[in-house]
Amino acid sequence: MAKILPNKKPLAEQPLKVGQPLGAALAFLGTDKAMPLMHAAQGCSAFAKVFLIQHFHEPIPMQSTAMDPISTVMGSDDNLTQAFTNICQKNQPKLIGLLTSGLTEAQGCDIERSVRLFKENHPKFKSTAIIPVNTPDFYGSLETGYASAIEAMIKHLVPTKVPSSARRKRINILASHMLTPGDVELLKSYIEAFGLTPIVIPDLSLSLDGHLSAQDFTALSQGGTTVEQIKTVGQGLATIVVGGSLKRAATMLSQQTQIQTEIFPHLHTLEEVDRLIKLLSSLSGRKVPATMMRARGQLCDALIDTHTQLGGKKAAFAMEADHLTAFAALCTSANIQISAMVAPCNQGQLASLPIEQVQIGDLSDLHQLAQQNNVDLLLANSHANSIAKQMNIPLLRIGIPIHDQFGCFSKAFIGYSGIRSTLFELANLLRHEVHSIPVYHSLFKQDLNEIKQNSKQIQQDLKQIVVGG
Amino acid sequence: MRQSDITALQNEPACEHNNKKKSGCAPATPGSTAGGCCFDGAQITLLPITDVAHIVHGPVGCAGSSWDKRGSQSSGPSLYRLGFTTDLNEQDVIMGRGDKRLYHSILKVAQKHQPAAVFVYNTCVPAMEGDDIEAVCKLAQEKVSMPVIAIDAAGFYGNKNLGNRIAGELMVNKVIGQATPAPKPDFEGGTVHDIALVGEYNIAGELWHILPLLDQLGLRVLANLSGDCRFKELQTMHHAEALMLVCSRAQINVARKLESKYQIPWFEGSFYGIRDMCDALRQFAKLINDDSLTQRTEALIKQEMTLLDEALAPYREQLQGKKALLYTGGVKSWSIVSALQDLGMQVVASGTRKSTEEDKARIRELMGADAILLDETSPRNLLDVAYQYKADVMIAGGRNMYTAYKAKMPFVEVNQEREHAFAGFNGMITLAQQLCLTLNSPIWQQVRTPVPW
Repeated sequence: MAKILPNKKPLAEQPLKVGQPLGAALAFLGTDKAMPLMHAAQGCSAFAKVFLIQHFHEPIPMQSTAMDPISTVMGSDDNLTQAFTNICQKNQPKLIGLLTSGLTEAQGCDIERSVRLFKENHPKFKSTAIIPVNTPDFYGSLETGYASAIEAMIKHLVPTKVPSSARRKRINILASHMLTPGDVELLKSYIEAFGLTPIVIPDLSLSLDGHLSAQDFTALSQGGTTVEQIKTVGQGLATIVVGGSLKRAATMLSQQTQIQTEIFPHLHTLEEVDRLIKLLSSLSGRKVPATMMRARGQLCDALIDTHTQLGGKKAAFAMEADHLTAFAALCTSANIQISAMVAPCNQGQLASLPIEQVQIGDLSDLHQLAQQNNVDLLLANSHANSIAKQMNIPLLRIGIPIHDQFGCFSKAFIGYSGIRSTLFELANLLRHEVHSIPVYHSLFKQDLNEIKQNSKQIQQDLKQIVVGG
Repeated sequence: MRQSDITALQNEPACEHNNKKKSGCAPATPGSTAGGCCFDGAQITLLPITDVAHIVHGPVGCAGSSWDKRGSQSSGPSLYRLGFTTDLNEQDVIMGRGDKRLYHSILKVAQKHQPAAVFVYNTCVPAMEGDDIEAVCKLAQEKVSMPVIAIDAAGFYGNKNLGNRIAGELMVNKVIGQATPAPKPDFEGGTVHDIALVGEYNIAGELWHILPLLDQLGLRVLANLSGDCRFKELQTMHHAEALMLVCSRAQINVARKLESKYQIPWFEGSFYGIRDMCDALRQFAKLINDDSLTQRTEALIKQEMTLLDEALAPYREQLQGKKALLYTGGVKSWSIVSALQDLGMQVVASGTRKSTEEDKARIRELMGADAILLDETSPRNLLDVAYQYKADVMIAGGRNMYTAYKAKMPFVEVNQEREHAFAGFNGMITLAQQLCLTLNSPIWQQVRTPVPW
């Protein structure tokens, strides 16, 4: 059991935490033709938009209810109605994800009621699902915001009655924020390899995977799981949940749909991936494909090849709880020592991390702990790069934002091939560390300037003396 | 190089391989060769002279596939890391322009990098064509006013071992003896004595485990042929009062020649393992024959042993009774056997590929009468022996690393490409750490677990 050390500093110096609205917006961006709408002053959505653009290198749809002094004091219901109407008229989205902010939560705005009233009064916009989520940024972090958005989608879209028909090939997946679009793509390919059809909530691999589509511009999310698909998850054969932060969403979904639900804390170790493959094999009744066995063999080989490079190295982590759980497991499996962990906020899963204590805090805490523990490696988002540089140790970029490198969203960390690539990357990052011992200059080393060249005569004499002697 | 010179070098009187039917320097068998060529040997021997520009005269194959192998470390210049080569092309070969190209290469390198000296390595093609690299070097030397030395050790002359010898011989004849050392520094413990090392390549910085100990004893290393060595240092090597041949039969000719030419007493030793390390320090004291040095040596050994015992205790606990299969090349097998035994391990079998008769006797003495000695063997056989004797870990050269890994067996690398410094007392700790690191890694459990479906 890890002890959770609360944040005792009066301020954050190098923030690690990303707010809840941003996490919720990310989740909505994994549904097709969606528009995240922040119930906030316009800066909230502008910041969030730029933040996500820099991470994904993609245009990001995002709107706000443009709170102003009057609506802040007198109530903001009109802003909501106006925003819904505008967006529906202009963009005809399939889904609007309504996120609250610190401002509107503190104000006491009842978004559920506003949404209900809008739907009653504006039947012409009934083809647009509006999902309200409470995501004040003074509580939780990206992780909780993201999970809340998924819970809200389940609550508002998935019917409670048992569906009339079943699709025996369909597998629902609840994907944590820790899965990159690249991860989701890989996970889907695993499921398809068994002849099954994956429906991922939310499916970032269809929207933020960095693809060029035929359409030149779209004001909405350009892909993702459709609202229709979310509504019919109850017809699926089973639900696979990846990430501890989605436990509550998993419970809700299994209660509402009565279908088999399997939770994986992560897919970042051989053991967990094996468990997934075994499950898929039994669900589909198919044998494990040869390509899968090959990939597994490649991973085993990589574990061996990198084990002396990685073994015994000390790492410090700063990331969300799901990421901490996953990368702690990965590192433990590769014998990397977990020296320090910082989380942006307290979550239930932190207590079960394989370390004595977890600090709630920011990247300056990471810096301090990394120095205290003399670590060899940092795992955190791009903001930790300056710390890594100062300490002259490598950084494995994990989480959001990663704004100083291209294509990080496309990297897969999970599955046999993802774990293998991660092991190689870690080994390469640590490779620059020179194994050889520090240079030692002998106290007696000859000063080269003091060495006198013998004259030709002396050399000749020396030879003769020796020969003669 | 004349055939008679090569034969003379191969017939090394101090090498006991020459007393056996099968000479240690027997020619290679087509279709069944292992190890490098004569050029490789010469280059390996001299490359760690770090302030020299090493020009490889030949087509790109020779330098192209051998440069910037980072094993040998330098405390200063990094010129030796550059892969100078004349990169002969087809036209050069057909038209015989190699000589000219070499001449201009030397001028260019000398002007651009100001090295302490230029070494020119002959290779197969120019050697066959008959490029007169001696003459070119002589001509160029006048122009650049720095030593330009031809290293005539083309690949087809013989094996790597011969290359080591040719290089050593050239240093004795052309470099050593040309300069007077810097004045001896003061040393509070007594007199500073000058020593020299032959065959310590400073792989992974191993020398830096040894030098601090020598400093404490007041032993100044004039030159090390060659590891972290400067050209001028090498010129002063003949002033050494004692010389150690480090785990290297290949350069026994250097020790012997320096003894006959400059009366430098020498011994052959090793810096691996506790017993050998102590032996080496005591041998210096014995050869130099200074009472105060002897006292300092004993005191140092006592102090280091106490520290070492303490540092090794946790590892010994973990390694106690673990079984090792040893198959080394360059590094003396008995030296590692004793090191592993010092750590409480059991050596179930040992390779004797490059060992002398004396070495083998010593291994038998250490491991007991029924010791399994493996001469030249195949990877298959190596694994079979490992399985048969239930070895926990294989300790061998890099080329067997993946043999072990494919068999899901822990492994520690101990040859020229090794990444860790195992020499000296501190090296023992590193060795113990590396053994524990691989033996205790949780990955073995994962990769050995059968698939769950």
